[in-house]
Amino acid sequence: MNSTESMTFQEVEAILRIIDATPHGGQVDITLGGMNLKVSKEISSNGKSDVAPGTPVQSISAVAPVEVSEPAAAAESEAQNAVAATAPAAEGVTVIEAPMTGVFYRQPTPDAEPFVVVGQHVNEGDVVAIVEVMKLMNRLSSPVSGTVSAIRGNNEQLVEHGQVLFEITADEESK
Amino acid sequence: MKRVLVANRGEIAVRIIRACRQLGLETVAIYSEADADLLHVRLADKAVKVGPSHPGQSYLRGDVIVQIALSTGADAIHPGYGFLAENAQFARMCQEENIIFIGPSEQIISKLGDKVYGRGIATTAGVPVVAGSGDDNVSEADVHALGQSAGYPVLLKAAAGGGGRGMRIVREPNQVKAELEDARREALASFGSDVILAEQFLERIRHVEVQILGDHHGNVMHVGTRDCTVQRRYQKVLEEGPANAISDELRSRIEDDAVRLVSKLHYVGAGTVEFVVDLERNTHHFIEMNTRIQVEHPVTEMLSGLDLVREQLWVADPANELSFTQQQVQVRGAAIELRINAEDPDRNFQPMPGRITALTLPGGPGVRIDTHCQVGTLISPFYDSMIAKLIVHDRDRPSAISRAIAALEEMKIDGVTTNIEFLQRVLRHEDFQHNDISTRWLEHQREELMPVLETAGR
Repeated sequence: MNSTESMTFQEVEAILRIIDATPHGGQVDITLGGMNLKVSKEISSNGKSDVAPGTPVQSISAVAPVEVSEPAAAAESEAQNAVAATAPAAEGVTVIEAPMTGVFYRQPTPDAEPFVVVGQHVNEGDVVAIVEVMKLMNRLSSPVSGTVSAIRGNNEQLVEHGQVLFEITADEESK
Repeated sequence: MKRVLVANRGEIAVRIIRACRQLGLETVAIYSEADADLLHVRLADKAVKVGPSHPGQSYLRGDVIVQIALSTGADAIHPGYGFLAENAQFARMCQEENIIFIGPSEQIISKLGDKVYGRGIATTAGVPVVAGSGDDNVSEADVHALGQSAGYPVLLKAAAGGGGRGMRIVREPNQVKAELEDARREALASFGSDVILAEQFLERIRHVEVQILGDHHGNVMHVGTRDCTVQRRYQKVLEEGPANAISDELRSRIEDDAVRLVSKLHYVGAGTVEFVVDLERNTHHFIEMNTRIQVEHPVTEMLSGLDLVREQLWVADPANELSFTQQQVQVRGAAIELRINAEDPDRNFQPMPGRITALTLPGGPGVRIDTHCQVGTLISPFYDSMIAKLIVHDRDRPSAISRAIAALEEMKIDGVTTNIEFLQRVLRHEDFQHNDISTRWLEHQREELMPVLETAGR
């Protein structure tokens, strides 16, 4: 008999909602039968989640990386990588990921100057690039004020959802 | 056509990639966040992440998918089944970008998505439909006329009703007046409208469908019938072919009707014409046409030896004609497909996602498995819970049933709850073995087919 308990989509969603609503950070690790759900949530010193809700580059709000996987060891390392990629204020580097799969443009029109170049200072909310999906231009803006330290997307090429496009070294005071 | 983007996931994406490879076509797979490790991603020449796990943000994003096709130089898109397969807007988007949509034209998809149009075209082609009043309020005389022409029983239903509420069955002409009066009064009280519709009531029916293929040159051929009578709430549980619960004569009449209907449409690609067969009247009635390759297409492939997906890809090119003639189509023996799902029959067939920790698949002559699963594959809560399709073929129906039972016994899946034991009970049931079933059979047999709930250890 291969009957094993596991979580349904609705149950996972309910768990995420509960965690999202709590003011505490930390890790939750639930194992039910063959399924392992690991959720980590980071809270910065000002009491707000480090993953700023509402920024155009984040599709998941306060709950950071979610790994539904097994074995647990693999989930551990994956989860840590994901945390490192989203918001490590400690190192001062914020990454901007592609919010959707589409074509990456560094400038507003083909002949225009790029929105930003490496070494340039940007303010929070400044447009840094466009991701096009079938003639619909989605503008990407910087979630922080800081200096562009790397541009990882290739101009006019396809970029995938979640791919890192920019690294921004945040200003001292904005940490 | 050189490069095909496969706009789907799971077993059907794998199935399509295999057919492309055989034809020397390059493939582009798309995958969501949850599907990065799936087999179709590894089998394709190129794979692009389409978006997050939720289908609405990934496999249903027609705009992103067309953008990926353009950016990767794919000149065709195969939609598989489900997701965007019958989305006319998506077909149009492909057409506008000069990408071949592997399926019929946008116009055909949207027309056939409309049941009224389907009924109309069937009637024009001389194909029987379920006789009825359509959307018009009926009079006593209308009900009498329907009973006389189509035979009793006649079903009366409230236009504003639904889900079986406000329905009455008239079995004799002398009941018409009283039943209609009661139906009207009831409908007015329950739904605020006394509009009553009437249609012939088909009491015991079987679901019979015909596999069709058409090309740009106007050729339309059928590849025989399938029977999908074993259903649970209109969800197919197992499919078999040919439809041998009905006479050879009726079966070939249904096949001819399907071809005649589709010939009116300039239909290109694979499609399925669905009928119900009334076991009391021995009549068949057109229901609708599906404009995609269906989940159960392997039943037809096992019976005919044709590769339907390859044929789809082949006729997508306007230069090509179907690679076979109607005379060459030979349906041999009997085939059964079983959908192996990660679901719990004890809990109302609730999907039970999880990770597959061990997998033993059956084999031998006449046994085919279509799956994307391996040890370690996660049956994701985001998508349908199908693990695999087991298709068996043998010289006749009883032999095919024995082969299916033996194959299911060999199949072992750990890590997730499956419906394997439930399917075995269906196959072993006397009514199924005698082919004495109708579409409501499974619901009626619930108690017999459901295992006794264990109180301990669950």
